[in-house]
Amino acid sequence: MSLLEIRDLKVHFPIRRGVVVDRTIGHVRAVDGVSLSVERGRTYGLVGESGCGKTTLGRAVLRLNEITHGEVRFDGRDLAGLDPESMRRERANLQMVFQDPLGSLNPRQNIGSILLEGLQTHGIGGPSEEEAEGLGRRQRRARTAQDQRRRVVAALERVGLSAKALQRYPHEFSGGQRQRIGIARALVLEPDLIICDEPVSALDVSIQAQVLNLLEELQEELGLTYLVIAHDLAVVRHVSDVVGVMYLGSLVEEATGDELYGTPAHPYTRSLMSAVPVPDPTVEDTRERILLAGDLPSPADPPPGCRFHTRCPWRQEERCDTERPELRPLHGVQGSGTHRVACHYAEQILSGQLRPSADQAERIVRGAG
Amino acid sequence: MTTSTPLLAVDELSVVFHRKGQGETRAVDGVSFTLEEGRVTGLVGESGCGKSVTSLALMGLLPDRGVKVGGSALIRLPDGEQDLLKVSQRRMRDLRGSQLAMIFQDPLSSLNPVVPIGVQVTEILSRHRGMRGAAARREAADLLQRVGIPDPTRRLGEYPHQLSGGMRQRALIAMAVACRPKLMIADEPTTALDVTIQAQILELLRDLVTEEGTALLMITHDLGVVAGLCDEINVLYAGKAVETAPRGPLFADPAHPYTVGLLGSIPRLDAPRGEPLTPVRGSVNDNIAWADGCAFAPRCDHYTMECLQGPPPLVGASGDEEGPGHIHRCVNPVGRAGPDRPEPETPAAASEEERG
Amino acid sequence: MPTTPSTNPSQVPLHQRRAAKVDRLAELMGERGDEGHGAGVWREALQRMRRSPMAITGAAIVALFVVVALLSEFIAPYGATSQTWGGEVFPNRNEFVGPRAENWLGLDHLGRDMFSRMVIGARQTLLVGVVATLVGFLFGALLGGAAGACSVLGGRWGRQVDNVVMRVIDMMLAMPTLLLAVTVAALVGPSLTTVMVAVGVAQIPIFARLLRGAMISQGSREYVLAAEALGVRRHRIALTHILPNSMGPVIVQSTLTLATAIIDAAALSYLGLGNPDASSPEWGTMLSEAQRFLSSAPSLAVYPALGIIITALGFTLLGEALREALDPKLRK
Repeated sequence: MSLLEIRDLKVHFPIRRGVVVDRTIGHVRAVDGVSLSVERGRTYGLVGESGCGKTTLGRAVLRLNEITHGEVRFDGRDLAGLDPESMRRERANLQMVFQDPLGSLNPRQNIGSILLEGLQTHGIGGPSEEEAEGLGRRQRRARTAQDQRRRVVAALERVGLSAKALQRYPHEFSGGQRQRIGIARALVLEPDLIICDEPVSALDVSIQAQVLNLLEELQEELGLTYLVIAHDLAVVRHVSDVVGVMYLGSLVEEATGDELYGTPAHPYTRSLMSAVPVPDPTVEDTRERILLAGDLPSPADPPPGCRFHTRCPWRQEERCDTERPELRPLHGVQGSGTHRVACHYAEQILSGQLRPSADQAERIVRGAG
Repeated sequence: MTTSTPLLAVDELSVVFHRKGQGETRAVDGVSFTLEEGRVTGLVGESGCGKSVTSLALMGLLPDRGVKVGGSALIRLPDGEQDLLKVSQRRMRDLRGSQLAMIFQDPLSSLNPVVPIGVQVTEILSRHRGMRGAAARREAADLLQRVGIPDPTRRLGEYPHQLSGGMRQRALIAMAVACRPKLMIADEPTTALDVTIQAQILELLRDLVTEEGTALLMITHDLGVVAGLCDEINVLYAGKAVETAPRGPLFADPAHPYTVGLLGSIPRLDAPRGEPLTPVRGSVNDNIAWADGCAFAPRCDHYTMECLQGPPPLVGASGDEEGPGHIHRCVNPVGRAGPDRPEPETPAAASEEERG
Repeated sequence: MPTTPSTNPSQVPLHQRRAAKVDRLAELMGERGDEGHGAGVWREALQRMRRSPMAITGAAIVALFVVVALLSEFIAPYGATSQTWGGEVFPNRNEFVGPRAENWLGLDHLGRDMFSRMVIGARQTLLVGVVATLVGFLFGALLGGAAGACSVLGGRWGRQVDNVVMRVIDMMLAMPTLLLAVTVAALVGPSLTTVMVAVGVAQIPIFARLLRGAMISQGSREYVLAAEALGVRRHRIALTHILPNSMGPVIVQSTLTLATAIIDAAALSYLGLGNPDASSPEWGTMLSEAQRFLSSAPSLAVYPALGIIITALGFTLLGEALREALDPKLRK
């Protein structure tokens, strides 16, 4: 069974207006019917551009956003149905690493207190029950503090920092070190699942790579499960076993990293992939670029039919404008059979049967050569 | 390489900040490069390498007090050659917009929030090209059209917050090209944008360079962007260019360990899952003064005693097959393993891990 | 020490060369030192203030004022009401006594030593300022903190509570200090308490709005979300995360409020709403008394006025310096 299973998850934020009493005048459909599952010990990468709902989805799993509809099954239990107190306790098993390493650390807490907070909140650490029996209250507390400190130092060392860091404050560290502290904070609770929301996008290139390597090492050593959320397709592909591409609140394609790269079936995936710069002049000069027209439509008023049809170079009359495509298995392609896509014409586009419409063709640019 | 003088020749540019009670910081420490018409020169590096300060120095946008700018930046103008670092404030204001233009990372804060886009564009047209009224408005609409803003006449009346990030950056580029500048400086122009929008903007810049013959100085941290756009690339580290090369040789045959480290840090879309990243150790804070030796030595796997004895000289990459113009600042360049190249070692010096 | 075979023809063994270069690197890097030894935000701010001329000036003025106020019995050479030189001053004939050896600032219209009255008045002024600020700070922080915490963490109900509290505070803000003071004075008679309560109550909405605003802005920061993701209880998030990070502007404001409270108190005393007791003069009262002789003996008004201005300036400088020192934009 999958460790995390999301079924038809919807997160709608009400838009409220009003002078005295707020009235709901509409909804931002940040996440609008997403189903996916994350296998234990694996990494699921969620990629998409700003406004596609990927961050909201990650937060909804932890119930940091209210869930409008759907199920979030974690280890068999439905988190969406838990009362707030049970959910709060459950958070010991699901942790999160945030994008902004400085902003996600309380500037007035030193590292020791930041890392201890989770342990204290959940009462983790301390003497075992039979050991505790013979101890007085004060002794027990001392033993607990000692044990928690040991766990904190172990977590710090795991991420490549030393116990010297405990007394220092977040602003005294570099960006990469801060992100390591953020990872240690999640790690110290020994969670089953870590949700990494843009874990490296605020970091310099060389620091990015250090943190990505660290995440992979930790996964190997501790058997962690990751849900990695990022806008950078190359980063997601690098760390993920399965990649899901989001557009305007829904998944448009899902496949293993290699399959997605080898046979991107959804037009959005294809254009996204063609837009990611590759640090290699020969590749850059020869590959085709699909330049999308216009901007992301508003998630408060998503287009009918296929969400992508307003910008899709392969858009067909009628069906794309009216019928919303389901995420369905992709046919006629060799592979593991897990490749799913939400496009009516994915197979035809892949085989070259369908060509981009004439007015969009100019947006497909061959490299300068 | 042409023998004629380049459009802009920056020579030994240095910028030193003085702060009370904190001594001086050498943000840029002797950077030289040239810009030619119709070509793109890239300045690449991580935060703190001095790339943005370089652009501000060229545009005369550094604060007056507490900053010392050295070196020269000779620009070829219709009325003769001039040193950008020495022209008067007033002349600089004239040059900005007419001959030089700059595009910043954050398009929202570069636009005046309370003035419609159209007014901001026509203002430039009237100031530098003496256009007025309906003619200016028509030209402004043409400009917006050129940079790919749909329905330009309507957009002219809109305020910056009504445009999306990509549209704002386009509007900013429209303003930058309004006077057909010879030279354009783009400081991380796509960093705040989504990849698909980034691709649009890069395509636009590419067109401007090939069609108008503008010289573009592209400042970015993204080696991927550089690979697709720049002709000539300077890799900066701690205020100095550590490697300069045409883009082919730079990516195919990088010489400086920092360039190699940067390339090894980037997850590539076309690499299979699990391909390891080989990043540089430590962070930019782990450096030594260039006067004492190679600033990169503390993060380098191959540093020797030689690296710690004074600033390393700029040398040409060995092997002529790379063509001219490939120079670097390393005593033990990567891929030139001779008998002198030491084994990789893990120095006990303060690496990031130990300093934590 | 690992012993990899060396390809270098040099005679010196590899490990020695390696040690030499590592030492050299450490030496070159060592100069910059290992900065940061667990300095919190406040300690850093203090260190920055030590370098600021504005902070030093402000702190010096405030320190002088506080010392004088606390030790006024020992500093003042004469009592506040001792009319020792009553026979030398004739206000009707415009005969006043200016500064001289035994009366450094001269005598007032009743032949009392001005210097002593100024020194004793400093304590009254400090008392009014501190108590009024405390009243404003305590009640304001309580209201604002409650509203802010409800708004950030209370969901829809919390936002309603916040809404109600803020409307009450808006009503308080709409009431002029002076009117409030006159009302209080009409109820309990003019006294120092009247002034302190009136000035203090007027500050409550300012503190409340400030703290609430700071808490709401801190509430949207990622570390609050991180604490929530960690499973920290809500009241604990409010108390240990949001509140401490929101106190900066409030503390800066209280320094600035001390300055305005002193001025406001002087104004109220000037209008006769202050302490009528002559034995504990207040600078505002002194100013009001001196008014009658402004043309003949302007110095009687100048001294208390200067006192008020300089003290207010001292607190303002200190507050501004503190604000600057705490400004995250200026912190590296």
